[in-house]
Amino acid sequence: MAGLNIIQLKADIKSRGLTWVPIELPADSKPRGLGWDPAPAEVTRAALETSQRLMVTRMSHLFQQPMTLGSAPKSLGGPAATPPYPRTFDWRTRGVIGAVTDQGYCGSCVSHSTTGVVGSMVGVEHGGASVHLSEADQHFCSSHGPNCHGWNNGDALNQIKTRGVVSDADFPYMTAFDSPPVGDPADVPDHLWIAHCRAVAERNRKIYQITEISAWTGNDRKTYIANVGPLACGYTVYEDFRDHYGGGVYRHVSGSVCGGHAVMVVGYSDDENCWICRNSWGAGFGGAAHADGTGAGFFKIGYGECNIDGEAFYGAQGVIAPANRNWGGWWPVAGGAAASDSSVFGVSRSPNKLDIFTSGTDHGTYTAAWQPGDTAWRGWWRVQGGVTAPGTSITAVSRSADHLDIFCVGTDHRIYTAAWQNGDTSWRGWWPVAGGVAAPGTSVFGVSRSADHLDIFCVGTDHGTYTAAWQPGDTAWRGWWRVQGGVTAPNTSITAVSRNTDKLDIFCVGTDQRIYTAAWQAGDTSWRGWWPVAGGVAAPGTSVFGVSRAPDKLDIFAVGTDMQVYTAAWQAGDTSWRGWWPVGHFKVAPGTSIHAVSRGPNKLDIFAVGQDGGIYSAAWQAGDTAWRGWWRILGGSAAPNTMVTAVVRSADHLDIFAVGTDHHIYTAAWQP
Amino acid sequence: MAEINPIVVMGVAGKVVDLPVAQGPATGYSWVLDLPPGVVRVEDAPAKQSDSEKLLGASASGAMRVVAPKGNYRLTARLVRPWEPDNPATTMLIDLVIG
Repeated sequence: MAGLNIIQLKADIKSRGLTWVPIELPADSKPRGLGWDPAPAEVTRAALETSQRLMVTRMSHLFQQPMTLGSAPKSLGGPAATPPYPRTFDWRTRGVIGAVTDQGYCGSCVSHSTTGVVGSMVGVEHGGASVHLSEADQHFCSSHGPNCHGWNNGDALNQIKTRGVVSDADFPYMTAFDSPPVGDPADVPDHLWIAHCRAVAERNRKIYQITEISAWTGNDRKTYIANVGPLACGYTVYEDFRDHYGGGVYRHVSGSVCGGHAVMVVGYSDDENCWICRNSWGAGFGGAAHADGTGAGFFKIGYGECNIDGEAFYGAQGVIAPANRNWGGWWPVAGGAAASDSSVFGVSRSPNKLDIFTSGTDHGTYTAAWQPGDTAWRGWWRVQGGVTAPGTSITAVSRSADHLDIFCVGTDHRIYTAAWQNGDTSWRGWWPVAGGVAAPGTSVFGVSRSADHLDIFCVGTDHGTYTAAWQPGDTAWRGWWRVQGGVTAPNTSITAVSRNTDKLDIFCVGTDQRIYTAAWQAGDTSWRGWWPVAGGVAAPGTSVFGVSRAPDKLDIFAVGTDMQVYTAAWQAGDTSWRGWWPVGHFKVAPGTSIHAVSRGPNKLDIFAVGQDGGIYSAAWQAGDTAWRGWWRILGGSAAPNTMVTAVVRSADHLDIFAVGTDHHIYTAAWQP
Repeated sequence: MAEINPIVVMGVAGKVVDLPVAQGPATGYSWVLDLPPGVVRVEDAPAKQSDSEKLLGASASGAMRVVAPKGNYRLTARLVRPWEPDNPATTMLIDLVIG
């Protein structure tokens, strides 16, 4: 671009005997507006505060550092000599950016940008491809209302967080309009299309939600894009962009303002000093696809162009997807109801048979059963005599085919057991287990480490860890033995896993809220441990549950002090536990724990009650580099202070049980 | 293609007349006016003030304006995108009556 030397120009004018006369602007002239105002001061301030915080914590929020006790989150690398992002990045190369959409003659760009971001995060967080989410459900059925007027990215993402959005398959965009679309005659002079909100049947079972929204400015935008996912941004469209963009890096030159516009930022290039964006003006925008990645609906816009820095870029994380179609439920289990703060635990005593147990509203022990061929659950039957202490649950173990042993804490806080085996017409028991007494608010958990062997664990009144055992030939339980040193926090229970024949691993939350483990195997004369598990710290009133997904492999799950779900793992050969890793961006309700099962070798499924009371699941299997999920299971909700539990009744079959908000007991099932 | 019945707009010769169409929000679409001889487009009216929470996707300009001498005119307004000029989303006919 040629320069204009104003001093030289004035000298030339003077040398010609002319006079420099500045032309005054007309008195009524106004500076040309931006067309849309920069973000409100509070938004900008919040974004700047976020940036400042991230500079201090080194993106800990973003990258989910493992939970720690009293130590600062790890840095990504401290004050970096080189930026924590590459020079160029484009999410299209990862296959998670959906097809270019078309908003038509409707100011719904915000819903195209935000659903684009969330749909892409489904692919990023759950693995696989993106999901085309319904811009129509988002724009016309949310707080925005059924019209084609504008919006803003922050409010729109908040709607996805609180209300969710269905897939485009459930509510295709163009079905929100008349066919063909009709301009609103009352909307003079714009005549934007008339839009309708269409009802989606069983919408609550079909929605995608997010758990976290973040706003980013400066180079943090690149760090986020390169490490987390795409962002939604706003900028000003000028006529030259609308009418003449044909690929390459756009920089505004001429034309008046068309209006504020929202798009999804899918990448950036420091080599070209630009953002890479997906527009929502159809695949014809920008011409045919060009070698530089622009065209066919995509464009590049120079850094700082068109007020693109006027407000923060928005990100979304923690996508909650609807449960897949292989889930069925929720079905009430034969009218059963549970006491407050009691959960339902079940067991499979032989392939495809289910038995579940709960403390009823009268604190009696109740059971129900299901087996193949049953069209409904049988029960509830009362297990005569078993009356439980408040806030405790009944737990069960099947030590061999068609044998059931159940355990409860009685109203005298002593520990009792009852048994049933094939051919029995009623339960036998209850017998007190060797004089054991449990702390208030704790339950007894057991495991069978080999056929017909039982080992149970409880928290004593001194909050120490105690165990008792039974094996064939015993006329009474042996124990209780104290597992030396294990002192637990209030309202937590000891849980156990047998990772191989005659091996036991137990887990507790200590008085310092750290998570500890101890182990025993055949030949040991005493328990080994306790060892802290990789610095893990649990929320008050929660317990740690574990599972063995293959011989000599352990995976445990806890609720951290930030109420997020964390996992740690150990396998033969490890000298210490690995973890803790957060499982997605998901927070659970207070007073609830995570239940885990393995439905096949090296497969893990975990279940939790979310902060909204909903019932959620996440999964991992060999080959996965990250957990998949979370999914909300069929709109189910759980009563406060209860947990959702699962049983594997045969390979790849899951049955889960929950106490509903009406305290009735419900079940749902999954199979391939 | 949706077509709207002719809309009659009255005006005074030499005075600015507001047409019942505007550029609308940034959608890629814009109204293209086919003006008969004598009818001249002038600067658009200012935009209606948008709610500050709804600025992305809001219109940034007001009604399109013309000036014409006395007479009757038919204007065609086509809502098109530059990359698909022959595929208007809507076509509007405006009968301009200038007294």
